[in-house]
Amino acid sequence: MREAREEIYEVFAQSDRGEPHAHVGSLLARDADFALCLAKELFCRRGEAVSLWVVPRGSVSSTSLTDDELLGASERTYRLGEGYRVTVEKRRRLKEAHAS
Amino acid sequence: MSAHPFVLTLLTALGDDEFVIGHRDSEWCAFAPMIEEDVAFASIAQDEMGHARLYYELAASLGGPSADELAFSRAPDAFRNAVLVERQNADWGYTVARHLAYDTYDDLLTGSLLDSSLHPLADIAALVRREERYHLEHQRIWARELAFGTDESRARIQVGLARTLAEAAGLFETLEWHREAKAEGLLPQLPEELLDPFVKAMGEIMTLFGMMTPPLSPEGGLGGRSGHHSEDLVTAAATWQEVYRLDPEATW
Repeated sequence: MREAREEIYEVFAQSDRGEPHAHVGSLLARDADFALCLAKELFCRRGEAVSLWVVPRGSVSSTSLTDDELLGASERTYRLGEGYRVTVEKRRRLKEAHAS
Repeated sequence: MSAHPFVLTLLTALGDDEFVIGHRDSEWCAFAPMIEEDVAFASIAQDEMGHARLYYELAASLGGPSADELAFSRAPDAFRNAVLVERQNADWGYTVARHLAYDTYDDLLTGSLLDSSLHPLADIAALVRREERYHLEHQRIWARELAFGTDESRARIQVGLARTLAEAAGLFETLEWHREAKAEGLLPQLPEELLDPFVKAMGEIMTLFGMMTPPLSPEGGLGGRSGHHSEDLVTAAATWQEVYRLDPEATW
């Protein structure tokens, strides 16, 4: 008799070689073999992925919902590099001026 | 120009096994043991029907009726599938056992078809094998689950295997058109030549899961390849042909 109980596995799929594995959903399975076998039919039945990962949800460490302050409470738009758009535009105009 | 009748018969029979087991698989939709398996098994059903279409379309391109006509307008006694695949699903134990046996057979069959002198058939076999590998793995995992699950699940897979092997010989029934196809190189191995490797492969799986190997009845489940089917195929065909027969001229 097997003691293993069903647990939730998080499924990650890679859409193409070189692309990152992205989370696509979760499923219940008794072990990793079973989870992979189900994930193949559930998340790749139309050929959407070239590679799959399954990870027991218990193995995922996560921030808590109340930790959002950690993830950026202060004003941070100055970090976005929006100003460089002006630089790109300036370079374009300079190039045009030189060309003419 | 139409191909020899044995070519069309062979391709139709290859498609019929896939189509009929695909229909049985589809009947689990909304009834499988868990929702994940529900979607997974429906996906496998679609794979099997997709394989059937490949064989049917090759037959059609060689002068046979269209794939739709083959699937939806033939009388049950014109089907050449093995009796095993037309049997009602009964329970999950039988379903898994039968599919495991069918996929084991299909693995040997498509492996042999890779060397067919009919190149489009060899190409289909190569394509089908890529998916069947996963089907076989899927059924092996389920057989393991049932074998090592509860006393009841173990009893059910064991009974399912006994029922399956009582009729599995029908998959290997070898008729004159098989021999003609082999003589021309279309069929690299006769079905009967795949029987020993099948028994060996099934025995290995059962040993792995600590199950008894039920006997394979040499005369069990014969007749399907010559159109002698059980009532189960008649009722199943009435279901899958019902809509088509309402208006065979309809365009979809």
